[in-house]
Amino acid sequence: MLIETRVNNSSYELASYIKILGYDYFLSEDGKFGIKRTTLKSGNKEEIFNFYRKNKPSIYFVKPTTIEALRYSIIYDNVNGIVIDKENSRLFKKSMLNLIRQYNKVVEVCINEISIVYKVINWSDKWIEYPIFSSCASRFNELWSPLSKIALLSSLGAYKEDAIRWIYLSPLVLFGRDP
Amino acid sequence: MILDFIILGWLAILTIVNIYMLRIRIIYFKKLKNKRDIKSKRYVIFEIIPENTFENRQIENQIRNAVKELGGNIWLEIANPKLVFTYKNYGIISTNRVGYKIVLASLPYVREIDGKEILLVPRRTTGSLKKAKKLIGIR
Repeated sequence: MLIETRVNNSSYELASYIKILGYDYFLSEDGKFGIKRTTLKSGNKEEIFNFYRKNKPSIYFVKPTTIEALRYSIIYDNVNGIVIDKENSRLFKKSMLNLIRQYNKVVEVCINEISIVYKVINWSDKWIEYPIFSSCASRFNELWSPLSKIALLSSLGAYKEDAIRWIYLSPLVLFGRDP
Repeated sequence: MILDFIILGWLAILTIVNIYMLRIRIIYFKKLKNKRDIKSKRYVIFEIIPENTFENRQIENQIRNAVKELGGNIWLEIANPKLVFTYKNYGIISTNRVGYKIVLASLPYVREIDGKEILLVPRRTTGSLKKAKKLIGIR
């Protein structure tokens, strides 16, 4: 089962193109089409806790901007995944990566950001068990097909088997399945 | 006189041994593995979404620009992608075994051609043009 893990602006047109690309389901930020996911950009742990308590999002991602928020979002069970990009990649030090490994947390990265993708591939050997690579598309021509994602990951140095596992199986962890 | 005969005999022996070694191929040069990789062709079948008609030259230029954007000039020279032809909304790119992955990875970077928004979706990679043609429905 193939899942596109992040679409910013969903529409009927985009949903039909996602089907053509070969995905079975997709997660959208606005929730008009597909499965709704919520991403919170936050710097303190109270906000992360209170947002979940008030809104009860079904799939809850956090983009932490401070070390404290990152530590809390790793430990907090209701956070499904952590978003990493150029803004917060400096937070991911060895101690935080060890914590991610301990709690088996999902780490999401937009596939457009090649430098971060490369970092995550390197970290996946030891620390990140379930990395997720999303298209982060707002329009249909920004979508990435699964084959292109696998080719990009393997040309950046990932093993082909790992790349296939990350694209096909890692998103299933968000739905509570063990890949 | 004797010395001349000895030298002549020695040279004759060397020549015979060399010919023998060449014949049984003791002396050989190991072929470069990379050279074989670059020589073997790969054909990438892709789909143009939504269906539109463009000139082959325009599509090829955009694909080459995309490969250059992702991998730089070096990978563009290694992969050397060329559009063989398009049929309905399918197309075939010829590249080689070393560079086909970078071609596959750079297809999403082609976002518009001639001002129209499009999406190029890789479908299959084959080793022969005949197979590629068969897959897109050309007999």
